[in-house]
Amino acid sequence: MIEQPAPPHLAPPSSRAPLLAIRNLVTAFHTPAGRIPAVDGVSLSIERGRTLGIVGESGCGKSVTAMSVLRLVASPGRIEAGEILFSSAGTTLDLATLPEPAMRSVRGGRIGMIFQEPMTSLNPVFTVGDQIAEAVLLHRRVSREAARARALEMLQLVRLADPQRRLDEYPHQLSGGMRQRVMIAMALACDPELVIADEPTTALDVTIQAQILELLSELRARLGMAIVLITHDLGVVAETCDDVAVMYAGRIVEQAPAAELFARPRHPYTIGLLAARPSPGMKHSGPLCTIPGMVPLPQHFPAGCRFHPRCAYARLPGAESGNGRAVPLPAGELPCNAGVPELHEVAPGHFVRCFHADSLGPPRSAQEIAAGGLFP
Amino acid sequence: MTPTQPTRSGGFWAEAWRRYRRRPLALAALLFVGWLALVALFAPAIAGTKPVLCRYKGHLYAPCLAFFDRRLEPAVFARDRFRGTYPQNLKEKDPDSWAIWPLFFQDPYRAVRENEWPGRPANPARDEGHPSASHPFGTDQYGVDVLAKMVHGTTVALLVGFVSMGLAGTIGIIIGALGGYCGGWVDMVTSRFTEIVMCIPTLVLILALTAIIEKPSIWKTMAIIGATGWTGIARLTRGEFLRLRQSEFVMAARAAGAGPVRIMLRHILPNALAPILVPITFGIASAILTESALSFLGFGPPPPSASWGSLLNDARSNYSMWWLVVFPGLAIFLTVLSYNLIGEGLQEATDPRLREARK
Amino acid sequence: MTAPLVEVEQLQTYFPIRRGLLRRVVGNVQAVDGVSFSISRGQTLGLVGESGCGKTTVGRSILRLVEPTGGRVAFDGLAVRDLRGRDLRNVRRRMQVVFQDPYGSLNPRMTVRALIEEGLIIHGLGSAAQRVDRVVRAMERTGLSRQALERYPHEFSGGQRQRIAIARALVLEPDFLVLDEPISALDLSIQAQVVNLLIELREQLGLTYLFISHDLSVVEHVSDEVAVMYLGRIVERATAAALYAQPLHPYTQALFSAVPTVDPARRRRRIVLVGDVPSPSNPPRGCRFHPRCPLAESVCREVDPPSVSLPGHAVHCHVAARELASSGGNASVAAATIAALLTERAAPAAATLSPG
Repeated sequence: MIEQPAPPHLAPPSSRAPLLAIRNLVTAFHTPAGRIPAVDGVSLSIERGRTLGIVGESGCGKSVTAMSVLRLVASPGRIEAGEILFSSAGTTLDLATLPEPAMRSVRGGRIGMIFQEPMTSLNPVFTVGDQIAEAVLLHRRVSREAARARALEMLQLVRLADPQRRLDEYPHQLSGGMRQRVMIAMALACDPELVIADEPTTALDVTIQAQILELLSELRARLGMAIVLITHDLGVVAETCDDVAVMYAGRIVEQAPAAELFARPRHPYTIGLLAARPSPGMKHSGPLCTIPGMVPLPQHFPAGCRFHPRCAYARLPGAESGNGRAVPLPAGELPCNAGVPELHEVAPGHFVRCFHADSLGPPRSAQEIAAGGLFP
Repeated sequence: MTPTQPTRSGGFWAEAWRRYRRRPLALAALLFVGWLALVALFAPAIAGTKPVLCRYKGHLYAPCLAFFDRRLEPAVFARDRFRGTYPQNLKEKDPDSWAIWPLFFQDPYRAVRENEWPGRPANPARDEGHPSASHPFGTDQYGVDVLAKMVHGTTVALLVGFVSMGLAGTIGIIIGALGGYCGGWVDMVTSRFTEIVMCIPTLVLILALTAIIEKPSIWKTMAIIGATGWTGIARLTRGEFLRLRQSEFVMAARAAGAGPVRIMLRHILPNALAPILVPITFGIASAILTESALSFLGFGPPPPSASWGSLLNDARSNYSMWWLVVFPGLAIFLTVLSYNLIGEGLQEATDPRLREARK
Repeated sequence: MTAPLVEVEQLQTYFPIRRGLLRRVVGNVQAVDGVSFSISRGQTLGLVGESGCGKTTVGRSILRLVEPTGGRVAFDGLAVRDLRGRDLRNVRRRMQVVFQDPYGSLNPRMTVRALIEEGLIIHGLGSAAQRVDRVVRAMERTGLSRQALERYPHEFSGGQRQRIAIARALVLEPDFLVLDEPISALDLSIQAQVVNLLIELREQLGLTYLFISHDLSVVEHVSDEVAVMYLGRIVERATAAALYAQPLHPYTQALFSAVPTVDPARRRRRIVLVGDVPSPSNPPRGCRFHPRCPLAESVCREVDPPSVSLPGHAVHCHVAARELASSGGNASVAAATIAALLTERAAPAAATLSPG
């Protein structure tokens, strides 16, 4: 439930190339209003059998990153730079430049995708069984009967009640939770090594979400596929993912194993997000800690560190920080509005994109921040 | 706290105009229609046999307005027995008179006689009336200049479009809004009524009505086209009102205490207007075509009114006079095409799917 | 003892299902089926539940944006359901609403000024100049600058639009505010801002809130009392502290356990419910939760659960009633027993599903 070790029949991650390695991906939208860099230099790697959570608010670029992996970004968006290296079946493919016919065999066949809105992601005029069978037929040379049998098998795998009957039902006859199970079945129909789930439970009730997350954990244990889980819900990430990457304004600002990130968050944005959640018993300790300001529009990304206008720890020459506390700029240190900070390692496997990550003060847990506020 | 966009948005229509401007064809169509409107407005000043402005016996007159309405012809000219011939009479009866003449001295209703304009021969008729230097579009079988007829026909064409669609739009919006907002039996009654009117073939209905009314005139024709062309608009309006009635901002207005009339007029209608304008625009094109068809068949306003369709009617019995077909046909084609392009441009400019991206 | 500001008794809102050419009524969607609660002046009642439980309909029924089909709604002593015309409009001034969707709840064709002063115009309050003053004051309270007056909603972000919606609700100086999922559509970092704003306004203006949400942590933070709804009925109601410390109803416990939390220390053992929520047009007999309840017994399938009340805590459940009786009215002991039973019986990942 919280942390699952990789299934034993797979080799430990360190001895092989990562299943998916995204290097300096840049995806931009060329609109009449200008060039919008939705994903601006993102690098991630996903190991076999592990779950990576990409978390961030709207507009941070997490969905576009996922769509870029499968080259599903709608025009006027385009992958402009970077590599997406997918290593499976002994070969390594660069998905960013793969020709379209080869890309089609990767989609669904080697990498599965689960979308957010099960209501609109399923075709309303085809039965559930037909849609899953279609996913199979596109990638395997089997007969229609075999595809249908596989569809039934998948519905049983995702624990859909009465699967024989469901095969011939239409999406509108199913509830939201059931439709999402069907989506998962479709994504897994061809035994992919990687599944990308774009906000798979955001549209679902919390008890249904619990069911779906349980199902995903169980499937991962059984089938051993890697999962990239995109969400804005930090709790979901904390309970289901092995590794976490936090995105803000098109960039990754913090990346670490999940337990490490939530125990010791180091980037001011992550700290702010975790502190902004109310926790029981906090009610009488005053207002919630907030991150002032709003997520910037891509057309108006701030210069330098994109988070600095809202950052409680920002160091600007002679200026006050976001929360009104003047923090003088130590000599020799870069101001936050000049130059883009790079991701650097502050602890084993823990990367932070901040000039001053080391000097924010001793790492404090989310609970301490929630109890005592951002400033000790 | 400042809004996210630094530059002000002028509201929905300003944004729509900005989007509309980006399509060159739509813009060209709009310019063409604008030019037509100018022609229609200044028709008597462009082609006519009456002075635009003249000074006669110490007073200023504008006899050309008679082309819009016969009663606007200054009485003095009738008293002094001008009999519609101005150039010689003005000089004879008042040597101090001066006049500003239309650009093109031709009459849309009759052939210009010999020496009506000093030194000019009479208009050629029939096959000799092919396009020439003095008659760029030729003359019809009676010698009436085609260019003058077309210029004045522009007024008719545009009027037909706007008046009939104005009427149709008003009827359609009211019926559709009532049905869509009230629901229940009101909706049932209005919908069935709409469907009944829709079932009757429009042209047949128009012909029947035209046959019944006495003293057919262009205005009655426009009224009839308007009274039969509202059904599509009513259906669309009903759909929009049904949809918007359930919006949260309507519910917010109700929570503030707004009554149904205020909600329909202030909250729903402005949001519904954009999709409704599109079929209205297409309807203008259709109305022009209908009027042309009626005139072509001989059911339009009786002569001597000038409309493009009536020129086509003349062409029916005079096959050898190709200019009676080509020029009016081209004019109808271009006008209808322009309105259709405007309608398309409007549709794309106001389509909510293309509007601002969420968050 | 002052009378409560809002009193709801056996509220019932059914939506007819019509079929056939003559639109005959063949059934009802029982969105709200016998809900009772009261809110005292200055208090906040949180209403939680999942989709389809009827919490949004409760809010709209109180405001008569949706007409209730039964029960009694009293606002400051007035019987809201009987009001007509001008009386209804006057009461509407004192009860306002903030909706969930910051994009759909603001008329895209109206400027911010027109949106906020709409209420003032409808009720004929003040001249044009006075209206602008009141609008600006409402905007300042919600953190909007004067420059926003002539702008349109689409120029603002979700959080700002929600502030406009709140300003619109406040400009009439109401006593009671129904907040229907006011922050669910907002980004995480903005949610805290708006929550703080709502709490601040409540303190400053002495407002009474009905806070409807599916987000349990926010509801607990904002509310004095919390009621949990399931399929049109309230299954448990308690003070916020009591509900979160000792939830008695199995559904409440399942709900809490299902919420993923960041802090491992606060994580509860997940109780995974089987199946989906049944349709409100055909609710189960007896206790409505019994088809999904791991602790369902035969009496649950037949008989409507009774209401058992302790000071500051009420629950509608046969099992909870029994546990409370046997623990001598000790809620925490009863809650712990129920929790243990649930974790024992609702083993996750091994459960097969019953038809939804």
